[in-house]
Amino acid sequence: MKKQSSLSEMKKREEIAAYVFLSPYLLATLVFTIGMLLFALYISLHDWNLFQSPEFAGVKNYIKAFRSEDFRRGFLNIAWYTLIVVFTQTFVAVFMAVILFKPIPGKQFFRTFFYAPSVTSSVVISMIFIWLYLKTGYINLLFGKVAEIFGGEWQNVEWLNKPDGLFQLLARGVGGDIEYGKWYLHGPSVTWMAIMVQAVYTTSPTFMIMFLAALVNIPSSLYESASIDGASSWKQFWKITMPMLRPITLLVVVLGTMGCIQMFDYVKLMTAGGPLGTTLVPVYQIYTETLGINGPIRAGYGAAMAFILAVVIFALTYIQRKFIEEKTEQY
Amino acid sequence: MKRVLTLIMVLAFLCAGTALFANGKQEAEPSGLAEMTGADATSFTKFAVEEGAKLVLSGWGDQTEQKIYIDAIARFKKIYPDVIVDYQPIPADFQTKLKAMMAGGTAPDVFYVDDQLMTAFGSTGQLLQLDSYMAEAGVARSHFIESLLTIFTLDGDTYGLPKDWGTLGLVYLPEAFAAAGIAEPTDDWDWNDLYNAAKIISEKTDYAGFGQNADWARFAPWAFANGGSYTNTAFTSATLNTSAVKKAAEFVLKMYNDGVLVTSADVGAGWCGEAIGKELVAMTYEGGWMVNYMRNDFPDVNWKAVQVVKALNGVRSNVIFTNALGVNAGTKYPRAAAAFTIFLTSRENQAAVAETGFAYPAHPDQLGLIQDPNDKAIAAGGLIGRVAYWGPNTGKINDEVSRALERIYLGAMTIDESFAEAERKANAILAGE
Amino acid sequence: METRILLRNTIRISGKFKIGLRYLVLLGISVVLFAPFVLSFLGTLKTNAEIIAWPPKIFPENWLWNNWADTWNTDLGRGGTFPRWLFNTSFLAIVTATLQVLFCAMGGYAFARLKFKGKNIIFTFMLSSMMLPGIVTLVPKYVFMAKIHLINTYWALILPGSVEAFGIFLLTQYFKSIPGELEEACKIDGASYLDIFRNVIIPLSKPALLTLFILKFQAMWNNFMEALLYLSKVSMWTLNVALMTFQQQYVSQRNLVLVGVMFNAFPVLILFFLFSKYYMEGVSFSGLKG
Repeated sequence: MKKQSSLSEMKKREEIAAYVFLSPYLLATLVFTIGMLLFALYISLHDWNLFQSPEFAGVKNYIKAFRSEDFRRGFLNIAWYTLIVVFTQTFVAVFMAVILFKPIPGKQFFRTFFYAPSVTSSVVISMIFIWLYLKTGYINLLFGKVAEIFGGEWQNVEWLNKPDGLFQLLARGVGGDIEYGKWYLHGPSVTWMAIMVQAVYTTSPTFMIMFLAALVNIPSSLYESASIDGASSWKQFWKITMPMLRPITLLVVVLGTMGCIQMFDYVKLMTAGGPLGTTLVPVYQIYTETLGINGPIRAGYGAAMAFILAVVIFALTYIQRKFIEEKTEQY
Repeated sequence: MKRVLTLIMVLAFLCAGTALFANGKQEAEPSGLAEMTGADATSFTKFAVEEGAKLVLSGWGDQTEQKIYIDAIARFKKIYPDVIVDYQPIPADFQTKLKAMMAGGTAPDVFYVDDQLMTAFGSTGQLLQLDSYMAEAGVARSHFIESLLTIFTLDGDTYGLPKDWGTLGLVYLPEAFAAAGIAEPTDDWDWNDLYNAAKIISEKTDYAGFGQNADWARFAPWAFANGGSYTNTAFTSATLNTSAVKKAAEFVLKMYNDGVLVTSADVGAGWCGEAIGKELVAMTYEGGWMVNYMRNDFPDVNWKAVQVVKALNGVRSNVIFTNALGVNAGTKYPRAAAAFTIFLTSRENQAAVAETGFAYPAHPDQLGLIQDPNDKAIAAGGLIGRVAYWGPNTGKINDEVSRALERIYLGAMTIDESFAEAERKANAILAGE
Repeated sequence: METRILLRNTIRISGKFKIGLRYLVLLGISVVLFAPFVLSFLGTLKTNAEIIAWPPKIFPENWLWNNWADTWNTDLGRGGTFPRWLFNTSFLAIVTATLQVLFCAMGGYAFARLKFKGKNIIFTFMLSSMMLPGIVTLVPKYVFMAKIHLINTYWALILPGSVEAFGIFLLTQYFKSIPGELEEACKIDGASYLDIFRNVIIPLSKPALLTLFILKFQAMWNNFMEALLYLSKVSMWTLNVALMTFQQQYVSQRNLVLVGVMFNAFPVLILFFLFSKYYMEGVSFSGLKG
């Protein structure tokens, strides 16, 4: 009897402690987040130009979003982008973290060098990549040299203005083609893939430091006993490192997904959705509608598109959590 | 570790302390007022304004432009010594910030207005109607270049006064023509002359002939001169799938396919003005911004300008860009703000601005004040142009034109298909979809 | 140390050749990743025309150190000077990053280690709040800030930036990856939750806390949209906002912009370099495993 009451008391104390620890966040959320979310939801059901009172519109804005071809194209583009970039950058980040974690003289310098792309502003990175991707740029030069070595010839590509899709190119390789109207079958365009490369280049180091911080926490005893059992470093990586990194992998994948789906700065800086709409992304459209960048302000329409996007991200995140967290050891 | 954290905390608190002080401090008045230029106040009549008026002025622009407005404020203070003007330039995303400020009730009293802000603020009652104040100041709409006012007029009332304007000219490198051994362009050129010169230059020299990207603005002189337009005059339906527009596109595409027209990316430049600076193309359509740009980045490159060329029917047309100054309808000091706005766009102030070579004056009788010969040549083509405004969806219509051009440049569609699709999409936009 | 054993293994297997190979790989990657930074730095010493020249030259013809002085001496009047902007930016970055680490660690601890009613709902809500593109609430947020009179104060950036879903999520995941044995032992000894938080969780997660500090410091240092919206007076601008006056549509002082970019990147890189050694401070749990 007494034991039970003290147990429930302990439970209660734990709950109170939890809410005390959470109070700064809860307070900030109450003031800055919840109101905004509800307001955005309210606005998505209205027509609103920011200055006059909103007019009720029902689900009209949502229907309009689903019917917009640009929005659907944006969705398909961002799906390709997210799929490829999240996978690649997570892989690259783990790779960089692992090779940097091993002791080697001067690794503090190497780490700093590796981190540099993440601190260089996206404007400068874009400027540099625009140079690299020029028809007369270094990437073409490089391909040209490589082609020369193998006795071939390289046709210079205008990387940032090449709408041909991956599958379209493959189809042409076997003598077919996919017509322009069937854009949804084209796959990511050459330009889009060029931007993916740039994105992986800049974000991988950020995720690398997240992995680095986690590697520290893997108990050395695990490796010690594994070595005694004669496990190779490759095996140790898969059997110890990766399972121990699972919470951080989830973090990186979830954050990566959210970041990718909401990406629009490179599009704004480099392509404005072109060529032929192959780099259109939903958030770029949300931005132009909500703020009336090239037409009347339609904040309700923008909010509706944003909620559709949020639901998609939510579903993805839910799946990722289920998939990765299921296997996580709970302490 | 602990030491690092302590250090950070100490720093943070130090900063916090300084910041509190800094926060409470009232900003000093603008200093370094320039001497008033010799302009005499003939057309601007001083009228009574609120006592103790304090105005905030916001605009975009680099340090050159900021200096021009600081000087203009000084000139205004000679007439209204009691009005305090605080100049708060917004260095980027001007329109976004202005919209947020307007919604939050913290917008400046006087600010730049472009077509985007006119669309957002005009019909929603956020701008002060200026006509009655203009009457008091002795300024009439007819004092301005007529077409410039179209954007800022709603139901015949004036909500902004044009502060300057710009247009396109045929910008070229004389050295390229010398190298090819042909005569330099004149104001009498038409499409065929342009084609032939570009062909000779691209064949005989290392320069590309004519530079033009898939861009609605640079395409406008072609389409408009050929009798085309992007929308009807009521801005209710698109007019892109017309033979006038498509014939213009056909000529551009022919030049492109024949290799006498290139895009800036083809030759390794970010935009065609840069291609001129880097001496990569012989000709392109650019505007008055080239003067400062070339002086700043390529002071050693000699370039010239004439008017944009005529279509084969002998007609010349052009596109005009303009921005205005407007007054926040919610200002506490409407009279002072209106007086300031009317003064800034008045003959005497614009004469002083024109002397700096920074902007073209919005008064037709002041075009003679433009100093730079290239500016003069470009501006000369301006009065025959059309202001780039086709209603609230101007930006989206323009995007559709650019995309239509992109499709034909890339060969993804024929001209007929591409402009039919552009018209379909533009009409959907105009219908509010 | 596991690493030492790994190293020993490596040496045993293929000896110095493999070490050399690893250096080669590290150097190669470093060159690729560090090049933009070096190129931008060299760009700060060039003329505008040189920066966009084609074909590009790596080194400036004349080393224009003046560009740095010009940037530093920028004065827009009304208190708009470069040192002032530098101060504004550092102040905001240090304060928000510090608060963020503190508050997010608290929240992360609750989510990772404590059981309480509504935990799942709050956690899910927290994640969801990151899913709505921020651009949608840009104007409503500004209106709210104007209503509570925070426009043109540092608070407009500090208050919402002091604790964020991102940071809590990040630290929750780290705390989850810390083995729980030590805590259990402390609990048995009767330590309070605050004691455990202070004496176990915080010391064990230095690398994670530093990671968050760097990321948030960098985020505020590079913050553009909010700084632009909330701070109107030139004397209150941050570096990133001020830099835009060097960069207009056609006439850009690219070299000065790049100097500014160096001021954006350097502090974060130096911070990272200094903190980097904490990523090596592995904690040995071998004693706990029995």
